[in-house]
Amino acid sequence: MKVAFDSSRDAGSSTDAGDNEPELIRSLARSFRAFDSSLLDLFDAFESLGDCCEFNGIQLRHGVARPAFFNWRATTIPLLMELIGSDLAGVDTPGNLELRVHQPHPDAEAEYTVFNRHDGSYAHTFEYVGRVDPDLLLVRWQRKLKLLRRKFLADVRAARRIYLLRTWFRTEEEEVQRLADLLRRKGDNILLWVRVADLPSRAGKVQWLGPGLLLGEIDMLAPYEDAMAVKSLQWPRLLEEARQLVNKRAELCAAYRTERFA
Amino acid sequence: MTGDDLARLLDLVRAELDQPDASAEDLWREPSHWDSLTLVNILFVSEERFGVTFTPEQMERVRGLVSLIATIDEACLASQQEDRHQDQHRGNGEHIAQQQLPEVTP
Repeated sequence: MKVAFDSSRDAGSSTDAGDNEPELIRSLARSFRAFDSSLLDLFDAFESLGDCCEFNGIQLRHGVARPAFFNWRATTIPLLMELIGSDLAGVDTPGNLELRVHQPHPDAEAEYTVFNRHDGSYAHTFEYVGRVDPDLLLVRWQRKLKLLRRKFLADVRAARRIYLLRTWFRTEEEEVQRLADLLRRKGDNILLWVRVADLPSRAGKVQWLGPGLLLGEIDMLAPYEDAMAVKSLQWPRLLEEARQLVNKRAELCAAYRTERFA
Repeated sequence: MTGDDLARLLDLVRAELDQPDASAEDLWREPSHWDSLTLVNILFVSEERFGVTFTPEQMERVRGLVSLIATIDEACLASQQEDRHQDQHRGNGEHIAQQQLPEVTP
């Protein structure tokens, strides 16, 4: 099977050379096995939409290793709009998928990534050249995407979790609001947008920006080339604040309904 | 789950783990050593093999063999209940249709 070599872009490389997801997950989960279960619940209440793997790594460190469609996947808002808007059409079509080899620098182990020709998206596999049969890997990924697509569509309809999107580059609020609006059309969803605070005094704060959209400002984010690094200790505080705002909104909505229909 | 079903499930898990000689004790550990790709693949082939469809909640509950067996049992039961419900509904429909047959006048 021919596999394309892709060095044109850093695939949001989130692991050191030689790491792989199975071993990485096991070692991180082992080292944090004694973590606070309330933190596990907190981090499990959110689901990452990207833009890179940073939040997945942080969830992993707090014991959350739940498979999800957008995990370990590089995304942009336009890509998310297209994928979610089309109910992830074409993501699991075998003919659309190909393996590419990603090697961020000559000393790093070459990793397979799964590239989708239909929408140009790609995802880490954490499987490395020479260690796995590429044909078998592709078949397994097709199955995985099929199942995770179905799960994502059911979850977004049920609004099971708060979606989280981090952005590194300057991003217009209107663009993020459009994504939040799209999620709200699918279900009663909330999007937490996390970006670096404009002012140090704003770091760690969360506020409503618009319908279904929260803004969380943080002191620092991990860069793309080192997305698994823990750069900020503010994540738990940020998530807790976001969750409290969402819960308060739910209480107010319930109280309004009770009052209105009493 | 019957003994045959369990044996088939163990073989399925061994195949996905690429460990044809793994003992039942090895497979029985929980939480599992399954990575997310393996886990999802095991869910996928389990659905095909047992003719069930897992809900998102059920998928998240599976961590290893023990939780997988419990989840398959739950999904099979739900599937059987759904089939019974549909049979009952069809039966009622046929009964009503028979009652509504018009009289045939020569």
